[in-house]
Amino acid sequence: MAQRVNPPPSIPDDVYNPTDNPRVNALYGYLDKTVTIVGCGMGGEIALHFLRSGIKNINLIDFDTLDAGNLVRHPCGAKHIGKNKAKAVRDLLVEYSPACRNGIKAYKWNILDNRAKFESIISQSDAVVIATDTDSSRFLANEVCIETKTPAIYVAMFQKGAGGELFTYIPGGVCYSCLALHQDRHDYVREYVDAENKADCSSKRDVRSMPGLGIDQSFLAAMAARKTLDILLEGQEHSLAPMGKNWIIWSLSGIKALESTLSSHQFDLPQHVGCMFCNHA
Amino acid sequence: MGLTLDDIDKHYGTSGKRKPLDAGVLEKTQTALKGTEVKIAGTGTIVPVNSPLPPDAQNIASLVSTEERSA
Repeated sequence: MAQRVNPPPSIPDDVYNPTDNPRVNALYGYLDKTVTIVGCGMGGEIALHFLRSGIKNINLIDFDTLDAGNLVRHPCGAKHIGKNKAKAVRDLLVEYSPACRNGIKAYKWNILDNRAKFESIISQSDAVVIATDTDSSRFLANEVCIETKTPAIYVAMFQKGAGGELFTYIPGGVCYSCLALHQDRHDYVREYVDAENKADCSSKRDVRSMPGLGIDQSFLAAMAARKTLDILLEGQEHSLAPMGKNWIIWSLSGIKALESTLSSHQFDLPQHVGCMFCNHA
Repeated sequence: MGLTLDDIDKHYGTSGKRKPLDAGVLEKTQTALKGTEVKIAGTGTIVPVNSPLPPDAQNIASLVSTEERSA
């Protein structure tokens, strides 16, 4: 005879509040910071890392809608299909920790069409994670982060999830445009700079094939979240070891630059002499 | 290298406004100014010119330049 499963009792909102978690507190204590995530695909997974790490003020920005094809990588399940990705991730986070609902905000718009709103949000953020898949959005975020002196972490997965890239901008230092120029991606920078309306080049996507699985993405999401924690903990007593330099290349299953699997290269890149963004900041 | 402050002005703009990259000026600037610091005429802006990338970083930067990026 099958054992009867009782429905769970009503769970109080504050049953799990990451900001009160003793393990989080033992590592770095209360973390009263605000993080903004642009792009709620991989960004959704990063947001969940933030919440579990005690960050309760999270802005989520994405104009896109979650569809069934996204579920191979996305933390939200089938019941969220059809929702805006930012709102779907917000619902997931609130479900995870209802006590944090007031600090989690979802914005359904494209940063390229709403620069003023974006600037306003970024100027009140302690760090920004850029997890988008167009260079135009990365360059716009780069401009805004330089202007508002806001640290930023750019994360991207390479084709078929074979590896990826993590770049960190600290105000006054080397920026995302410098990275692109160091990589001889002058045409991408030039297209953005030359476009009178930055939204005009927003449809140019880097991706022309399947980007990879959720398990490929998870490595990069965890690295991005961990790197962000480093920035947020700057100046605060904590016991986390700092992670990596400003440019990290990650190889999961072997990439052209790094044939070894499960390995990384990292460098502290200098500013690029031809950069017209951070050199004027 | 034939680089003058006028060349830099063309690239950066005397008013401090950003201008599109000029590949020729950029190349000359990169070649001539690595490891130095330059004051941009008309703006007083100091442009830090740091050391060139180490060879291994340059090699990897080139290799990943064509990677498609998603998130």
